[in-house]
Amino acid sequence: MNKKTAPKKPLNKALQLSGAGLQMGIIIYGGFLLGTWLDAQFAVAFLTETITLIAIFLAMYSLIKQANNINES
Amino acid sequence: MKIAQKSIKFLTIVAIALFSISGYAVDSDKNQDPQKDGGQVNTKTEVEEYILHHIKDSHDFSLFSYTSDSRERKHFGFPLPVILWSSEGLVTFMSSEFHHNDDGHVIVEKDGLKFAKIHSKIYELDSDAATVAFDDTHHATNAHKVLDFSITKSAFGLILIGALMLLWFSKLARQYKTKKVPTGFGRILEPLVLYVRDEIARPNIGEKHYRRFTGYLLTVFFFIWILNLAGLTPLGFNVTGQLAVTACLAIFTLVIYTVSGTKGYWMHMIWMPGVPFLIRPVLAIIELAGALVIKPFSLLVRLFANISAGHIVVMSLIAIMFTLQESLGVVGATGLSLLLSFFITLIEVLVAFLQAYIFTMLSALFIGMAVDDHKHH
Repeated sequence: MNKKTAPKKPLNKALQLSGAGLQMGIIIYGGFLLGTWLDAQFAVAFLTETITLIAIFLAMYSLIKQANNINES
Repeated sequence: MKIAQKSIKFLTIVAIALFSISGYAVDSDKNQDPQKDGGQVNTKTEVEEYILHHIKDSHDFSLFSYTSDSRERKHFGFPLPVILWSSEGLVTFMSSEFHHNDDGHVIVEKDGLKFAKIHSKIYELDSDAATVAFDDTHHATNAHKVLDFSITKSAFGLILIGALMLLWFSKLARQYKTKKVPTGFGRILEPLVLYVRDEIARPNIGEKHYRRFTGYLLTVFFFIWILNLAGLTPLGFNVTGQLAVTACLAIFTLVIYTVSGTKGYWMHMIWMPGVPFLIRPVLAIIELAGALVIKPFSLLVRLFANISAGHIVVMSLIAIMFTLQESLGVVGATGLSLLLSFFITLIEVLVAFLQAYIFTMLSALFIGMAVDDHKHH
């Protein structure tokens, strides 16, 4: 590792987070769809909210995981 | 002297290319009313329609059109081949047979089958129908779509740019056999090739594997960049603004990083180490969806949206000339339109490069993650 390439790396690696918004959106929306479907299957009402909330936490978890991975490498 | 010769040669080729187009391609429609054919674009809705029409692909290559003194609509451009897989098999004819009609009123008869073009899509009429019938929502009721393999404007652009790239880069490659420093146009291409290799491929994929993927990365980079730039010329290309084209490029990247993924890459995806056991299966779903759907999807949407938006913005700013004519006067509206569209076009030149760069960079990153040895875990 010479000094020349060192400052460039963080920017390049961070580019993989450029799709993060989309990724979180799709995960949360996927959770919402799953919840709605399960609500209809079991004829209950609380699963949509519960699974959407879980999906939000999962989306954040995977984002933080990704960010940590960038830091490590 | 050599430079002068080259530029004379270049200018001659350009002149021949342009004049031959306008020479044989004048085509006029006498039977159409110029007020109704969408030729004159003055109001806001007409401008919107015109822009949306440009964004889409089309079956013929039209450069410009005008209404002559004798109220005839003249089109400058050239027809492209229409290749269809109909209910009776392969049918081919030139797009000029539709006479620039796009609302299904011109019926082309070939091999006993009837075809009409409605909103840039070609329909085959039912055997007993003579004209296209529409329902209330303006859908054809007695015609169905056919498999369309036509060389459309975008397909023509793809072939043209592909051929040009083959010419330029094979010429550049051949130069290295006899000399160390390329001459002519190759001298412009060489630093760009080195840039992609040393700044995109090498740092993102790693010293060990980068050589395998440099060819692909160079191809997508120049392909996207040149097509983006072609979209800024008055020729009216919008190839990288077609979802099918960007989707195809994204699928290439997807296939490459999926196929070349190492064991470590798949293990990290399916059974993520260093994470509580309960979360692992859920994370696997997210990771798999991320790698197989979200990554290529964000690649294709980013390129498509940026280029389409660029075209819409430039054309909207040009349209200021007509839409603000009443409040600003002819000179004011034209001046404002010229100024704004000039600067936006400059920005678009930057965006053309930037989008090619980002697409290549992200492809390199995804490939780099897939071939990484994952030693640090």
